[in-house]
Amino acid sequence: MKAAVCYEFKKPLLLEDVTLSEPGKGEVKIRLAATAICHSDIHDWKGEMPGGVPFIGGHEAAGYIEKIGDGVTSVKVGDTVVVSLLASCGKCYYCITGLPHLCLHRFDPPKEPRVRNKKGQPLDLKGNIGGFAEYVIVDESQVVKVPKEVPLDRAALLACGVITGFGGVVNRARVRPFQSVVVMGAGGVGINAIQGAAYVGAYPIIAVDVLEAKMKMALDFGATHMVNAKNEKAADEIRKLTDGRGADFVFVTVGSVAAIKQGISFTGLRGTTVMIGLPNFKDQVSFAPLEMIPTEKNLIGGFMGATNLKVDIPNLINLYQSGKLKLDELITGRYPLSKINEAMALTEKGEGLRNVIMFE
Amino acid sequence: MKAAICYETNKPLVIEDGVTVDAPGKGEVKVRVAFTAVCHSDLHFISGEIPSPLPGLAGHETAGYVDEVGEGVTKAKKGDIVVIGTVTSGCGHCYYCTIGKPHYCVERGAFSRPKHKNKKGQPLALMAGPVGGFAEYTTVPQELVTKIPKDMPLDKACLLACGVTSGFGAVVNRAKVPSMRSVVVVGTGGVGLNSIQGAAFSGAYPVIAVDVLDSKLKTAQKFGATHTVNLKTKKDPVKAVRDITNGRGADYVFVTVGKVEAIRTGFSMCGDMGMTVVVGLAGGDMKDFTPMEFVFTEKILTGCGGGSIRSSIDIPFLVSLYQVGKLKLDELISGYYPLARINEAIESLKEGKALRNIITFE
Repeated sequence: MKAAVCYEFKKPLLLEDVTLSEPGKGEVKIRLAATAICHSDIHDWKGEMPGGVPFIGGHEAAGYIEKIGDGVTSVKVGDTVVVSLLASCGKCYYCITGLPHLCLHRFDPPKEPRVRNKKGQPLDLKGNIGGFAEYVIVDESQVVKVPKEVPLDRAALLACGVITGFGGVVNRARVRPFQSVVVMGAGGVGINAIQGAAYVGAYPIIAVDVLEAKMKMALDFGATHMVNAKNEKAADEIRKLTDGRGADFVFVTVGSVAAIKQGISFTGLRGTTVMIGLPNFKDQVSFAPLEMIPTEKNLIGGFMGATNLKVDIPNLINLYQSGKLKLDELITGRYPLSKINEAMALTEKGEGLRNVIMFE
Repeated sequence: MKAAICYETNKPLVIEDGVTVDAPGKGEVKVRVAFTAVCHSDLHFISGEIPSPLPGLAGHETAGYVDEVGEGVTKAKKGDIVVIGTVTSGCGHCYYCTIGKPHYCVERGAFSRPKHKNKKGQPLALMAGPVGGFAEYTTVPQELVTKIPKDMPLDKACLLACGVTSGFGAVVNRAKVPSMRSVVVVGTGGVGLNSIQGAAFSGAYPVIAVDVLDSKLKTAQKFGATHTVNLKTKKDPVKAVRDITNGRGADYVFVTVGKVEAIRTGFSMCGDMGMTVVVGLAGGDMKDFTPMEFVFTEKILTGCGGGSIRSSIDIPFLVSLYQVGKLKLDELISGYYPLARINEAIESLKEGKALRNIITFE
């Protein structure tokens, strides 16, 4: 099968024939229909995340079950599925307490390499998926069956970008009606935090970005106000919009420590800053404890929207089908695997929302 | 093997030899029973108050030794000591399991298939839970089994299968009582005392024990009750509770007595916006509640089965609490009876004198 392999950071991916193993116990093989490019893929490609080369990126995918391993019960051959990096064992403390996205085994690599190149060299698979390839093998827990009528390029977005933003608001922060929300970064994740905030009745919902065009688009997804991050008085603007208090919640979907620091300054007393976007893994953020103690501000992380795949993906599909969740509007461009480098370059520039690799 | 079989409701159990149990199938564990405590729910079934097919085998608060494991069993191996309770640890993959409520696992209903046969070969229906603990051996799905440390005494451990977890868990897991909130526990028996120690452990205040026997109310104080109200001798027990709770009524009421009248009393003791949790199994209908009471008070009436426990987390946690002296178990045991004298153990519990009577098998 064909795959786009990264042999050197920041160099074009190489399209080549690779071999895939067979699905083992509890694993499924999927013929991919679509894999969206996420900003984390750009981080991986630039060497800004842990891990070396060679690897196959891509972790926001959807496709058809091609083959199932022993003991697989939740899907059968021919089912259409979303493929996510969220693996869960169902037995550890976090799985039992309803937080499968924190499963103790979520990052365990497969026992045997699943994909090798022509020379027989094993290839790392990002998110234990490696979705920039025609087929993938993943753990059963990483897939959720979706109705046949849902277009798979839209479904793919549910694997990461949508749930990370929407779930960050709904599951992690549990924003309530009338609470004020700032979303920093109106990209593929931020725009979903905005539609999540609008869905749960937050007000105001303030989109913060550096590009006017993106903030205008945010208004279509439910933002009620916009503030340019470059504005020196941005924090004052936000206080003005929140009865002088600052925001109850700030979601930082941009992978930058400067944005996190600025985000904290946007929150009010007891306000919560949720870090969602991944900065370079070597970056450190600094702040004064005195900024936190008398204000009782919270600084927390949100991983993959604290998503319970089996519950949340079907819910989001229902929302999409009833017109309450925008997915069509998230797709900026569609590219065949052969044009992946072009698509990656556009995602890196940060102009679009989601570029999707189509396999059919 | 021997077992105590219910052939007719409201009659003494029949101790019968020559009873057999299925070998453990896929995912099942066969256990040599060491101790089974008698719970009030057993009495409800044996008396016919809650209907069950007959002949039947009750007993669901059990601890013992794993004798044999079936294919695919990962939770225990031969020789392990285990608690067998009625609450499943869950399949790990259904809706309730993935949201952190494994006690509601959708597969839990499949566990009640009879596994014992009497000497004539008739299957014995499992009564009061899918355990079959009034027999020398039982076979159960591994989801009902929790491994415990070797240094935990088994006669104490069996109490963690139901009575302790039902009472303690109702407070800690179901109602999630915050510290400094007021709690009433109606009924200070084998379950109620554990709600009281759960409330004390959580920092609730006041913790008000309500019962009809002064002797039991005294015991309740040893378990952490800060106040007591005797329903029989106090002229206005509801007012007594209000007087203790700044005139408001309790924030939380746990009704551990299996009687609808007790639920009514408990609900009256609950303050505005308070929560009444029905813990004890009661037959009959709740008739004398008016919708108006709910509308104007915003009171919550809810239930709790098996203490809403995540058994693979909570049972080991309770073992640790016992081992460091923060959970009373020894004091819950009123008497030990060999299987041959099980009817005496049942009678003594029926009279309401005993907290927990334990059937011994070794």
